[in-house]
Amino acid sequence: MFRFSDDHANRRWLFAAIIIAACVTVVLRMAGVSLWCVVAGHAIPDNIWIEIALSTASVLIIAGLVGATIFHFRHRLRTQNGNELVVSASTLYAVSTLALLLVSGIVGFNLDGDRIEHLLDVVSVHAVAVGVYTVSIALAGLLVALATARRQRITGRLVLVSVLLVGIWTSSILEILSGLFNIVAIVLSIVVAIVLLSSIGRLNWLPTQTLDKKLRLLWLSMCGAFASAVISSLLLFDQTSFVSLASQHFLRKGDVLPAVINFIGFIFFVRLFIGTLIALPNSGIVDRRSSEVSSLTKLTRLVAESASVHQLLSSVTKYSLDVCRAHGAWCELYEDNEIVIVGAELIHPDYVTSLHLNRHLNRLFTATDKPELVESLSSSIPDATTGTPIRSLITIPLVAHHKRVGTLVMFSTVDFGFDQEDLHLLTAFADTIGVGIDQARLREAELENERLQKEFEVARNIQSSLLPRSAPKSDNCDIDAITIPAAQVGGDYFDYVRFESGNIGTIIADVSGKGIPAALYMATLKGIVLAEMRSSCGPADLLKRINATFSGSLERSIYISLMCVEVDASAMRLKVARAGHTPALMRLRGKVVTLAPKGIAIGIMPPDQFDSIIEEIEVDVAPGDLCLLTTDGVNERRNAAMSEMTFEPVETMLASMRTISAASLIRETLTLLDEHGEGTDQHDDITIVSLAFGIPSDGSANVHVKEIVGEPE
Amino acid sequence: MTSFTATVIKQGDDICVISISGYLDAHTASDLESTMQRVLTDGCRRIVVDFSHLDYISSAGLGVFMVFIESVRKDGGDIKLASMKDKVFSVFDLLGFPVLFEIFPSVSEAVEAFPASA
Repeated sequence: MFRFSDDHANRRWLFAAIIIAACVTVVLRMAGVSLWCVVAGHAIPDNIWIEIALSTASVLIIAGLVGATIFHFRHRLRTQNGNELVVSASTLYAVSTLALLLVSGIVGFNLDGDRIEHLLDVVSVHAVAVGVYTVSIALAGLLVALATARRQRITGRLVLVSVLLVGIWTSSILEILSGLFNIVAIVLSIVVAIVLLSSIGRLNWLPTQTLDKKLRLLWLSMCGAFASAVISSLLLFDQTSFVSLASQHFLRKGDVLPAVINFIGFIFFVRLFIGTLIALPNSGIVDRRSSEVSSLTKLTRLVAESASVHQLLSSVTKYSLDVCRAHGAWCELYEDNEIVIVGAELIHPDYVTSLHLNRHLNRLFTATDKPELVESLSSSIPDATTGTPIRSLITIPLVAHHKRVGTLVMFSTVDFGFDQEDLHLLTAFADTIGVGIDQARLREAELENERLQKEFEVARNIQSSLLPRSAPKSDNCDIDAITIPAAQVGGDYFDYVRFESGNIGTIIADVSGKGIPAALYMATLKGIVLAEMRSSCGPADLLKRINATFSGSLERSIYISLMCVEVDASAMRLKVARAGHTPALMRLRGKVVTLAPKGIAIGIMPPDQFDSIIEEIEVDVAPGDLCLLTTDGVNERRNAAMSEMTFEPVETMLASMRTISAASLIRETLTLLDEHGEGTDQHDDITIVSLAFGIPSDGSANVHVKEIVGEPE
Repeated sequence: MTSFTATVIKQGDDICVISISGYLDAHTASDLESTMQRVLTDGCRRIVVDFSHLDYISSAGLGVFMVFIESVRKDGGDIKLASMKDKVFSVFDLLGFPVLFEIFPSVSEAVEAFPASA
């Protein structure tokens, strides 16, 4: 209806201005009355102009009150719901009205016709009149606010009510012309009452209130009805009462509107009283619902705040204990056939564990698959009470992911410590807790996964730092190597060695399996190689030493395949030994041969058998000859059709290769792997060591250690 | 994709034949391990593994046999391997496994190789 600035400060200023203006008008009016009646000694109706001036002032004051009321209730409607509005406004109304009646009864009043003789009377007349109008307009404001609270189109109805009110007042003034206007006023009053009270409609917020709120409303509506009944009957029927006289003095026929409004208010309060009375019986249900809802809300918050399953169950147990007023509570989780006690409240976890020794109790806790209330343990299962103070209990099975994961137990040390309501509430809790457990587990797994990822990264960094960065210097043997792990950490290993004789060599190995265990063995292997190589007289000797060192200390399912080559660069001779490793490929004077000396993988056989089987072969090489050591990730590289690459294309490549360098040999092999793999994920680590004879190696960093290729498995 | 199955058939009084098929790698090794464990828990100590339908074996797959062989032999039994495809055999062969395990061309030969039970 009015368009106000949305600025809160502006509205406050306007509100204050209206109040101040009204007060000033009251003071001015009082001054006017004092001068005219007390000083000059006239009666007000003596001069029509004086009467018009005073009435105008009164109308202005009333307008100010109406404005202030509109402001007040607009603000209230924004911040309060129906119930709060009625309670606070009714309280204010009842208290003010009763106080007003009290004051008007006490203050003596001396009115000589229409003439006021004393200054004190001027003040009291104004105070009571303004009071009567204030409470009446405020009451009208409350009724209008309630009528319009949930309606968009309120302007029409408000205008109608205002017009009707003015109509009532006008008709009562015109009463002196004809008695008919009196009837018109009464009819209009009834219309106003109907319009207002019908707009208020059903007080549909009433039934949803809790019992204590309803009782408070009952009392308030009674007070309100009493106050409005007294003030309206005084205004209507007792023309000599102070309130009637004061309001009539304030405005001609000024008692009519407050009387009408207060009478409508009386009807409203009676209606509120009856409505509240009718809504009383369902309070129990409402109370339980509302406490259930607030408990569940709190529980949901607890669930959302918990970072781990244990934290969740501890806080839930504690909360349930409070809600059910139990003497103790705990939560038990069933993990790997073990009962874990979580969040034991007012009971020691060890004691709970001992309770499970009692098979009746144990069955009660663990076997039931629906919430159960045992009101009196001593009468239902007498055997279960021996040696325990527990007399009544509630067990709530907890289900997460369609699996029974635990039980929430509430107990009391007296019989009938719980009732059906507690059972209902805890049953409602159970689902929320189940969802919470699921969530907390996911969060835990997420954190654990994150931690593992970090550890994997560290392991991978350590592992790649274990691989040599540069090839050894040699006059006529060029060496290069590469390793590409499939998983984040793999079991492949290569290294360059120097034997007792001073000859250089290389070693390639594959620890079975993947992940951290393989990586740990690989690191151990590196240590053993470093420790043993300088005292080894050849590849077979080194492999024997490695096997002997590992013997008995390898995990039973793990073995290591190894191949070792010693390069006598001056004599152009190789010594090769193999411990179950993928055979080496060589190009000797243009012919491609496979080199597979006898030998079994490390960790399979005790040293004596290993040593008796291992074989060391010698190969003479010439410039232009090539040697390629690989792990099974090369020949077993699979494509989308799951077919393995085999050594066939590698052999063809070796035979036809023109550029002779260790690095180009690796590049060509990688190209073959890429062609065969067709972009599919690599399943196994790939490691290649290449040797090219007849050209020098400058010992520079010619080792490529590639980062992860493909998804970690 | 990579599928693996292991089925156990009792043969005679005390010999268990475990037929494995498909791909035996790091992912499926645990299946075989639990099958072997079950057979051992049932008290069988004379085991023949039938490889005739196995297409691929990886290093982790080989490890499974190593886990059990020692304890089985200590109890006087054995794990014998039979009827391997060439490719699978070459993996065993390269690693030197024939030294550790007896490998037979057929299941019946492997079964017969067990000494008559006392």
